[in-house]
Amino acid sequence: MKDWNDEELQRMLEQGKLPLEEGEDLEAYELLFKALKKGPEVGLSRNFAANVVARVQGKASRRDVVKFYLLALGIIAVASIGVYTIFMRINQHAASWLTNSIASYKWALVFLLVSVFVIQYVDRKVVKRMA
Amino acid sequence: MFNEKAVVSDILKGNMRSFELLVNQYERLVFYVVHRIVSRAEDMEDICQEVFIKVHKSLNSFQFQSKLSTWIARIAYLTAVNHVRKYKNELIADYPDGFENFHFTNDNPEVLLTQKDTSAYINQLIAQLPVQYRTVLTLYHLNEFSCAEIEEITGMPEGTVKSNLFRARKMLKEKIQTDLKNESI
Repeated sequence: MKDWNDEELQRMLEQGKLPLEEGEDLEAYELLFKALKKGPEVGLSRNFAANVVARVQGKASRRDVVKFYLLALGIIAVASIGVYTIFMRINQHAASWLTNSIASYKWALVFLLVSVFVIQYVDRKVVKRMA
Repeated sequence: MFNEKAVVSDILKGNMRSFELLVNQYERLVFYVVHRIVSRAEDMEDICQEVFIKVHKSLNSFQFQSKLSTWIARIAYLTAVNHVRKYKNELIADYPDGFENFHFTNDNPEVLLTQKDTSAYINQLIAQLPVQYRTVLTLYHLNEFSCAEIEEITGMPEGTVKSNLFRARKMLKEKIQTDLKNESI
């Protein structure tokens, strides 16, 4: 009766060629190879794929919102500079009146702008929680 | 039949239904890889989701130079290893230098063996192995990757993959043998 070493036994079991002789090593290896083929008892939730898709879509829509706000800010900034430039060309007096008016209401304008962003942010949070 | 190229091309065009198909196709592969590296069950689902979010984000860089499954398994492996490093809970318990000093703990597995739940008993033993051993065993036996593919996934040289595989199986065999003798089954 041949004494198979570990390397030979592992190779034979991998190839599915079992030696005719029985032995303790072979018995243990057979148990092991059978168990190694079995996956864990636990698994992922049934709606895992749907959850992943929802997260990817959520990320994409958040990206879109950020893009939208950046675009809006850009447009407002360009429009303001444009209006100011036009005022400067047409009537310098009117331009300085405009800058003075903005300066006197600057905190009100800042408050308005921050309020818009806070309301949008809270709204999105509430909608997300309710979904 | 799952057509990798068609599915990937659909996803890149923004088709989320195709992405859901891809997730369904590979969720088991990702779970097996993550499950062997991360032991905290409550983190498992989140990490697997993170893997697929990364897959979706970097799919445009996938050039079909390897199998899609190998590429996804690599992302899963790296995500799980990074998670463990970040929370420093599991890798520290491994044996980076001398695996010769490794020994199994003697409490739970024997009980399971007497209950004849061989598969659960062996899974308990595998869970005690160093992470490199657990990973190669899972990728080779459960996910059926070749040693060359495991090299691609983990970055371990093919020779190391083979020797880890051999040593892990030998260590498990010796432990099973001892327990079988003790339980005289």
